[in-house]
Amino acid sequence: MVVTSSPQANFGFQCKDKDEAFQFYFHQHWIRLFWPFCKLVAWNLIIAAIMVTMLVATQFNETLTRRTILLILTAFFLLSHFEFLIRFYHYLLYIIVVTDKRIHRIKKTLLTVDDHQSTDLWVLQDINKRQHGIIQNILGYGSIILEAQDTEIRIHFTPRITEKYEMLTHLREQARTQISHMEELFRKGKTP
Amino acid sequence: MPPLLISLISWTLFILVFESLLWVIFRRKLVQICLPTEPDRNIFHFFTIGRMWIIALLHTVFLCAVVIIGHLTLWS
Repeated sequence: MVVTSSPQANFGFQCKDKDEAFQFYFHQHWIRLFWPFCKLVAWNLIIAAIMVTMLVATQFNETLTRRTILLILTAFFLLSHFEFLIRFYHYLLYIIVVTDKRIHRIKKTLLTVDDHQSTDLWVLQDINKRQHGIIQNILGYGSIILEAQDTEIRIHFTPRITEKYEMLTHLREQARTQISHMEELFRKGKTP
Repeated sequence: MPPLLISLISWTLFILVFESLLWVIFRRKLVQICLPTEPDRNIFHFFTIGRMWIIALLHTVFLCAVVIIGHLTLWS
């Protein structure tokens, strides 16, 4: 789910500055959806098992009992599916966009959250990569911690973390070079 | 109207309304985040809005089908 692009690619996104050139974007790792998916499957299996029992067993012959159980089962079935669907939508609404100048963390939920955090690449003092545990190392995901003077951005469940870490480090160096070049030009222009 | 039909219509309407509501909110938020300015390249690599709409539609059909089959099998 990662797209890299040449700096000339003309992508538009929320709060994009006209001078920014899109580099790449990513969502969180798919493992974020693994537990909700397991829950969905478990609920469906339980509901299917109860439905089969209702078909086979003789205790559920009374019409009112059958209909009440059917109502409850349908409600739980729909609830489990809608819960997963909402989580899936939330997963797609959380996106990290990296340009040549900034990192944008856009996080939205369907109703309550609408965050956009942008950090200049050149102000980043430290870029740390954290991969703890067997699963994180096997699947190649982890947390990237971006530390600036006053702020800290933690990007959890970063997929292909080593690749992203290298790209971010490279982009930070490029941004710093650009800034120092601009500062030099500014100083030259100011001094007689 | 037979109770089975009332039940089926109610559940189907509920599914349709809820799925549509979720889709409308999701689409609005997704479009706010980013819009590709090049028609042939979409920033959302696989999950384009068109594909997401098809997924949502298939999910709605799946839910309706399961509810209808479940009711027809277990109602009486």
